Amino acid sequence: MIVREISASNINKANKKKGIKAIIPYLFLLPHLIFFAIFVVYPFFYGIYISFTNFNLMGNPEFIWFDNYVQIFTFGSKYSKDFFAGLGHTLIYTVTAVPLIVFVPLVLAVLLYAIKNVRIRNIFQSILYSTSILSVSTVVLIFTWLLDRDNGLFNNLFLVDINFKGNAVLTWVAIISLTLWSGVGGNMIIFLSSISSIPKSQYEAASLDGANAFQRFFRLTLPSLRFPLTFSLITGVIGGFNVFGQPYLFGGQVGSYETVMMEIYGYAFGKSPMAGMASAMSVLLGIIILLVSIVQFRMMREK
Amino acid sequence: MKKTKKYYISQAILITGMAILCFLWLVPLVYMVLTSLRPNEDINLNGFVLFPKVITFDNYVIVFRNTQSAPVAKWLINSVIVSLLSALLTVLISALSAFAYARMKFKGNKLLFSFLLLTMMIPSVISLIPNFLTIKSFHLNETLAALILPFLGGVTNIFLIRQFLYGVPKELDEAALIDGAGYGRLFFRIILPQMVPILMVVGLNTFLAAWNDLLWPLIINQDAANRTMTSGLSVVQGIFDNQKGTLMAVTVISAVPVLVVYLFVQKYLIRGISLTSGMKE
Repeated sequence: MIVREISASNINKANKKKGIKAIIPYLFLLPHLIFFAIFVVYPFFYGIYISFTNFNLMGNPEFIWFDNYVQIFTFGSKYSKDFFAGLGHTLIYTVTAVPLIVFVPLVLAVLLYAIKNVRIRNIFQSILYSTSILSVSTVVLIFTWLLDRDNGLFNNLFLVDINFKGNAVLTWVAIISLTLWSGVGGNMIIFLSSISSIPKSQYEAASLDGANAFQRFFRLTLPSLRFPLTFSLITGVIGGFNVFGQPYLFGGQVGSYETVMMEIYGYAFGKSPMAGMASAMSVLLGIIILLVSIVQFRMMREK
Repeated sequence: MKKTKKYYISQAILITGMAILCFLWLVPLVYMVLTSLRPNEDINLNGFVLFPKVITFDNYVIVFRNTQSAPVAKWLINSVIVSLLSALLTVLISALSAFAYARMKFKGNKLLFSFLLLTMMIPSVISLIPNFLTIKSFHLNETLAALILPFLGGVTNIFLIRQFLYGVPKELDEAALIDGAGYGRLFFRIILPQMVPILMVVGLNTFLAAWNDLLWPLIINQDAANRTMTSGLSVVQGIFDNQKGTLMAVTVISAVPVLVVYLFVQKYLIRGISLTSGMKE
């Protein structure tokens, strides 16, 4: 009996060892996969499910099929007005801020690269990038005070009386300005390091062929920046559709600056939560973001 | 040498122009600091002045004395804890996972990794409400864990580290495994030190992202004591409405830690930005 037990345990041990070896890779993956399952995969499906319910964060959600979506697309309803006004404001931000947040850093990178003294160039780069690490709250508070109607630096220095919260255009000018101040640094560094990686011999050859600065920029610099430019554009557009902090914190006239994310936030976590409606809006915004990113990825590939 | 003269002039113009831009760039920061040094009564009475006539640190005292509605010291501590732990845990979890995907043979490796990449396309907005409910069902809302855990499932960092690992010679693994080291030993003793550059990048990015996050902490932790610096800052506007000096003092306090960190880690940060944009180093 004793002998049999020992041999059985030996076989078990050998099997176990083999079994353990096969598990090892999964042990490396496990910590991430747990969080991935709980906070990435599950919420995606659950979020879509909630959008088909009338869930209000309390009690049990009741399945109401496409009611939330129907209400959003019933033009003239409160939900429809809120969603599409929000989408409109989000689009205003995206089509104005995103091109600028790609174009301005491009100009800055080209100018910085033209500075031959590397030390001076690095100092300028550090200063222009330093504002990019500040949080959106810090930046908005600074600009709110800077643009204050009575005591702000802007109005007093230029001897004007501009109320940046007075109308939609001015509010967006302010929001886009503060976005640029705190947002051009990252792209500038990406572009600058791409430009720096172009072999100098190529520039020299182009110069010898009689190409002037503009020709060199369009024929040499710009093509080599195609990938980083597209990358910045894609991340910019995704960020643009998700814009929340800047308008939420800066404020303005009611009905002139609320973005989709603010509507979703308001509906989901406001005084009378409508998580179902907010989820439907999230899904619609998600679909828009997904479609736009797919189109952009396609364009990047084709080139 | 006509060309060199032209060269020096154009460089001088360029440098002067950029210097002016950089000066203007810093004006909002300087104005913030100067305002924070003005007594509130002075601001309310005299309005705008370019340079304060009276300088005081009272505003900073007021800020740290308010421990009820705006416990800024607590917010700072919360932010430091959340950002540091987020960075450390993200680095560890992502490195373990990336190592397995890049270096280990197991069933479903490619399939699982493709699935991870696919989820990168999911717009995060859809997960917002479900994650709120999940954290609440774990009774973790109003805790610092709520600000860390949901971000540990991210995929981007695994992708970055895995890419980096393809540049680390595979012979290292083989040698170690032949010597009888297990995968655990191989990972911690040999591969981890090789990964330091990319882990610095991942850690820094995670730290800053956690520090600067607004929406999630705003939703999940609403008690004043559980806010972070960034989410707390969004409520101080109402609290110090007629005390602009104090308001700017809070803003300075929120900006200084990241700016100091920036001074020290600038090099890594800048390298990280070019790395994450998908370019080769």
